Amino acid sequence: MALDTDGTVSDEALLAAYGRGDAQAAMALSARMTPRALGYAMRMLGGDRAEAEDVAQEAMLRLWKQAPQWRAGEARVTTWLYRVVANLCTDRLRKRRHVDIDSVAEPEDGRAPVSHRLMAEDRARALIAALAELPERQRQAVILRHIEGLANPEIAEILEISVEAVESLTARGKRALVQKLAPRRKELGYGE
Amino acid sequence: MVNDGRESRAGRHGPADNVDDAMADAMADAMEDALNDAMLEDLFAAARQSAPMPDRELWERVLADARAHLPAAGPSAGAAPARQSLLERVGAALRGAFGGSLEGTMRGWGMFTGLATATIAGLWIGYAHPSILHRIGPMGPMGPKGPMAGISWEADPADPAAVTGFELEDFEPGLGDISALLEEG
Repeated sequence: MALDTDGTVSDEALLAAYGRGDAQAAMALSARMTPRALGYAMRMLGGDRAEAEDVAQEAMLRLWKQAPQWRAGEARVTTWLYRVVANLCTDRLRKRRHVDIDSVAEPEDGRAPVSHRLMAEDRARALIAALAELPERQRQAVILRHIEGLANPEIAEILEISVEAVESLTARGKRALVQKLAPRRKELGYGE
Repeated sequence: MVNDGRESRAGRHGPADNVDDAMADAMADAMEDALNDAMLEDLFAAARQSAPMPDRELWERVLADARAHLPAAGPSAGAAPARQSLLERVGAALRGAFGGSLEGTMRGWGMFTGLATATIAGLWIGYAHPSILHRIGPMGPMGPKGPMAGISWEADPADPAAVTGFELEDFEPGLGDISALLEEG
């Protein structure tokens, strides 16, 4: 299989091709899936990149192992991968019992408004820090919905809950985020 | 009774003032909610824009695993024999271009992984952010003159096993005959 730059071939077709021994499919699939796995894991793990990389590699490894047994039509590759990443993150979070919020590099309190160049990064860090304080299921649902951009039915499939439960988790998660972030609104460059 | 500010105001003023205060409070709350919602949406957007990219080491780890677990191409793999010979033929063309100096480095995944780690970021850009390709311009990494130029995916979506190939001469000028090999499949 040739390289893919425009996503015209489905993830499932790529995985099937890899399962048939197609090396180039691995590269295209890696390009699509590894950033997703890494991004989701980093946000779930409070910004711990090293641990997120281990999770992403492990998730991709499971994907490679799964490929020969993959049955078309059973699931989307992205859904399967997000679920694996979610489970791997859950395992790690339980082992460390809590997210080390201190590991998230946050802007210093009380300093002058950050420059425009760094504003987006600081805002992203602030959000990750706030996400880290949410209950795990709320965090998963909010990240998948509002950062990964998935639809509620796919999130429900990933988290193995109902769509209504997803809606409830995301609503409660957003309310909790507002409570945590509203006091920092001015610091993050948002007007009163 | 809790003696908060709103009750104090109501105590000082008449019923009409009380209604006005309640409306003002409701408007203030609505404004506050709107500001917070807008902030949250903006923060989500900032998080999306600052999505982490795998570094070279992670790409290599992932591709090494893919290599280790790559099933052997079977007879039912359709274009698999062509793909298998693709690497060999690219290798032969490169050996010819470099007078055999690359012999031994072009076999299987050794060369493939090297290309993969060099080009995989470009694949991601093309997949996730195709509009960027148009902004990079002709000399950018994915432009027609750039080092990642010609990485194409022209396969029929209904037949993903179809081989179209990528243009190695764009990685290494002077290897034009390789693209001809690739186009032949």
